[in-house]
Amino acid sequence: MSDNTATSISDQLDAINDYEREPVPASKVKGFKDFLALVASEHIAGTEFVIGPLFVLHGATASDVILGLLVGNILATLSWTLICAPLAVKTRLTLFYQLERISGYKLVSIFNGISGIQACVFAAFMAVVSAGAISLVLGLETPSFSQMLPSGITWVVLVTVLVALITVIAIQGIDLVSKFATISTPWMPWVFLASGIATLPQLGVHSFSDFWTVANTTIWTGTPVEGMSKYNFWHIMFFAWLCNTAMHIGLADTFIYRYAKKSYYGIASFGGMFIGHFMAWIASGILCAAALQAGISDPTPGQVAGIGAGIAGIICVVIAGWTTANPTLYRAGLAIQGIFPSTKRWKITAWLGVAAALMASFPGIVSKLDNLLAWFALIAAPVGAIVVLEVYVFKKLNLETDYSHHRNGKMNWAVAATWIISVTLCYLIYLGLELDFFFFMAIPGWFIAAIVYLFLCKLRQMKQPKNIIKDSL
Amino acid sequence: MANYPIKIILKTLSYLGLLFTAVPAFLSFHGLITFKQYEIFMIIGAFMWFLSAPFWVTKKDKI
Repeated sequence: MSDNTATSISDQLDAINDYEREPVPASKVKGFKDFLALVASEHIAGTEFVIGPLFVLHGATASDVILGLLVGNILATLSWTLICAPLAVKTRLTLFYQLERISGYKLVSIFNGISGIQACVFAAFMAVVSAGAISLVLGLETPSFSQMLPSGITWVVLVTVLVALITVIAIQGIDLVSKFATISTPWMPWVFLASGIATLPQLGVHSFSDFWTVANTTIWTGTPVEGMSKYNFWHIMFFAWLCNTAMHIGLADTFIYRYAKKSYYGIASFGGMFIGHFMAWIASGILCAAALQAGISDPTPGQVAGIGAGIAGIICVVIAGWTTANPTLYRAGLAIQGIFPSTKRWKITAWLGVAAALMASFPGIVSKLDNLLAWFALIAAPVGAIVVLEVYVFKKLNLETDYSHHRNGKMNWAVAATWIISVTLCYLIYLGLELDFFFFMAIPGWFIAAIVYLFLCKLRQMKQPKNIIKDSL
Repeated sequence: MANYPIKIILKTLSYLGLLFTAVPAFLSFHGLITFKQYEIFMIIGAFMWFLSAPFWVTKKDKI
């Protein structure tokens, strides 16, 4: 490694760690345009080629999809606008530091670990998506994404090489990766839009007035493919709203919005939601229907994009997967490194790369994307509820804030209990009501966590005097 | 950083690349070009964008 590279990595890490343990100063806040560009690019990723087809395969109807995405994306935008961004502007702290002050280092480490594993799983998802597209171009055998076991040694070698490349870049060149993502982001939405429009005649749409009829009879037919559960309006709406739970009501995006000049900048997420999670999901759903009509019963993202835009579509899948996987694995390394501060970041990222390669060898994990997102949503929601209470409610109720910070980092058992109780209760409710979609539990999980945490803190304060150490921030 | 006239040319090429990516889909939809021609325009558009944009699209601010 050259000195220049070493300096560059050091600079990048310094930039990422900026104001990690202190409020962002007023001189460093950014204007609205910066947020619009940033959050729009954040939500146009390789996953869009997986999620749009999921709604088709799960037998949603056209009105379920259009209305569900409309309402769900508005609710997601409101979650950023009314909860995440205002809290970030009020405290100007990262979620991790805020949580460390409240719960203590040990609990934050557990949360870091879960966040790291989540990011690692996502990197594996993206490697699978890119590998599927590459094997299509190379004429290699592409396993079906509902097939859990690897199809053969070729697939394992391909994903291993791909993850190895991703890992090397995640270790060394995050700046290059960021630049590549910035360059490809303006191009990708046009590919989604173009492929959706150009594919419509293959489905029988020859004028825009035909669209709704064909949408109901050929694209979103209301009949799930064999082995898939049925999705309705509520599944789509909750999915659109809560697939980014960790970011909005889970408050992970405080990392970004603490730089916002005004609290209403959360509205910038509207761009990301309605380009990435509305237009792109609808377009990739149209492409999936065309693939099904062409006799591909279980289309991969590469096949879906290839049908819509040929080689350009496949390039788009590879780039989308690549640009998402690199920073994702980098973030996983950062999160896990927080638990093992004495271990070199590159070693942790390398081990995560090995784990991602192992996961990516099993292509069926892609078909479980919605379930995995739902689990992470449920785990992240209580954290958001706890921080919202601490920032907005506790002082009004004369309850002590930042418990751990005032006790030299002592673990806050109320946070641990709240987390365990809310996730367990939600799971029991999910089983008791025989629900078929775990996303339904993220909002109840948020409110259960808020009630339990308030109760436990009130109980603790009745037994212990309130610590009078003044907040240093 | 490219100087000003070159930057203008590069930007023009990039925006033309995006036009080549977006517009042929509508032409194909209305039957004015074939699907194969649309696919070729998409590839040309991709190359125009990726060969010109890296020289002027840069990250403005690190957040």
